[in-house]
Amino acid sequence: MEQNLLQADGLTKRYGSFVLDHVSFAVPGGSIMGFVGENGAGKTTTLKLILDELPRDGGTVTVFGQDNREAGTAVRGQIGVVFDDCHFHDMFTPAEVGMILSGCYKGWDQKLYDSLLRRFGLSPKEKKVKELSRGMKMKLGVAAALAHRPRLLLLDEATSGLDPIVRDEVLELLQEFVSDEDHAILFSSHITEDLEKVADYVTFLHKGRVVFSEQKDALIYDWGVIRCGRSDLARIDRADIAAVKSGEFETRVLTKNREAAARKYRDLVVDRTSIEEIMVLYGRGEEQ
Amino acid sequence: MKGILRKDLLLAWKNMKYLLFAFVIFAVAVLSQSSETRVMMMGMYLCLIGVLTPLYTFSYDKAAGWDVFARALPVERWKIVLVKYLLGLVFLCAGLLIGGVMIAVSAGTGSASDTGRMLGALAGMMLGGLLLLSVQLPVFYRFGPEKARLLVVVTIFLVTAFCGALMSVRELESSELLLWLLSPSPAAAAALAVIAAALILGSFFLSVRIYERRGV
Repeated sequence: MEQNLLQADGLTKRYGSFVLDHVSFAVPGGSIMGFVGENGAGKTTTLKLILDELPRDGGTVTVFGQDNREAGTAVRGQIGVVFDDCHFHDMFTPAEVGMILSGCYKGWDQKLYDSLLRRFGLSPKEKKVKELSRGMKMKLGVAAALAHRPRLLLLDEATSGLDPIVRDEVLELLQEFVSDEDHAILFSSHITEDLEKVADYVTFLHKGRVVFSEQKDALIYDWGVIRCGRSDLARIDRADIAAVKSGEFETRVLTKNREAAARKYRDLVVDRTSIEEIMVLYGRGEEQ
Repeated sequence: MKGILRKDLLLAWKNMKYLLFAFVIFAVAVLSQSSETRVMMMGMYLCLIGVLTPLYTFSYDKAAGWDVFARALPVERWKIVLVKYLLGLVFLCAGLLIGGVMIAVSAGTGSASDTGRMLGALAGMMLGGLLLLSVQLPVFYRFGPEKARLLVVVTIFLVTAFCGALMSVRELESSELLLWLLSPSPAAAAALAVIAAALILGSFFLSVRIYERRGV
C-alpha cells in the first residue's frame, strides 16, 4: 500500500500580514511532489515548518509517520535538503563539507558522497565553494543532501539558475532517487517545465493557501482551457469554471474537465493546459 | 554536534594564519617592554583571540547563511549553541596554556619576578574573557553579528577606559594594573570562579532560548 512519507495538515503560520493558512498536502512514497506558487506564496515557509526551523501557529507535520517536532533529530536525520542558495562557507572545499557533514549524519556514506562528486565533475579538494559556479554549487548541495541516504528530499528552488544540461542531470538523479516506494521528494520550483518532466503530483500554493493538490497527469490531461471572447463567458456554467483571465483579445477559462467542456461548448476552443498556465490563471485571473 | 564543532574549528584554523601573523607582529612590538609587561600583553592578546574566535565564526556563518542549513541537520539546537561556547572555552584554555608556557620560559631565564602572581593574573584574564563571552554570545544570538559587533567595540572601549582611569588614579603601569586587577586572593578567586560558572550557565541557557525561539 502506498504510504505517505510526508503529510502536512492545517499548517498555519502568521508573519505580520502574511498568513500561511491551513496548508494541507501529502507526499506518498515513491513520488515527487511539485510545490509551486508565486514568490511570497509561502513555499519556503512551509519547507521551514516541515524542518521545524520556525515555530508554527497551528497544524501538524507528519514525516515517516512521526510528528516532526516530537521526533526531531530522528526525522531530520532522514531528510536531505537542497536550498535555493549554497549555504556552505566560501572557504570550504567539497572534501571539507563532507568532513563536516559526516560528523552530523549517522548514516553518512563517504563513498557515495565521493562518487556523487565524481559523477558531477566536482573535485573534492581542488576548488573552494567560492570558486564554484552556481551550477557546481547546486550539484555540491545535491551531493551533500543525498550522501546520508535520506528517505525524503526537500528541494527549494534547487534547479533555478541552472543551465538545461545541469538541470537535466539533476532531474535524472531525482528520478533515480524515487525509484522505490521508500523515498519521496517535495520539489519547490518556479520552473514548471521541470515539474512537468518529473513530478507525480503538484500542489499549488497561492497567497498562503493551497489552491489544489493533484496528480500532475490529471492537471495536464484532464484539465483544460476554454479560449473564447469575453461575451462567451456568460454562456459557460460557473460549475465548469475554475479560474478566468480576460485579456484584450482572448478570455481564458480554466476548467477541470477538458473533455466534458469540449463536448458541452462545441463552438469554443478547448485546449490542453500546462502547470504554468494553471498557475497564471489562478494567480492573475479574476476571483471566482 | 561533532560536525558543527569541526566546522567551527575548521573556520578558526583557516583564520589562524592571520592570527599567528598578528601574534608575531604583536610579540615584536612588545619586545622592548619588561618581561612582565610582555607576558601580560601577550596574554591579553591570546585572551582576545579566545573571545573573538567564536564571534567571528558567527560572521562567517551569517555570510554563508549557514544557520538555515544547520537547523535542517539532525543536531539538537542546544548543541549548535553549545559549540560556540565550547569554541571559546577551547581557545581560552589554549591561551592559558600558551601564556603559561611563556611565563614558565620567562621564569626559567630568571627574567620573571613573580611567576605565581603572573600565572594567577593570566588565569584571571582568561576568566574575564569567558565572562565577556558569556555576555556577548546571547547578544549575538539575539541581534546577529552586524549589530552585536558594535557591542564588542563598545565593551572593549569601556574596559580600556576603565583600565585607563584606574591606571591614572593608582599611578600604575599597564602590566602592574593587570597584575593588580587580576591577582585576587584565593578566596576571591574561588568566588569569582563560581560566579563565572553561574554566569556562563545562565548565558548558555539564555542563548539556547533565544536561538530556539528566533527561527530563521
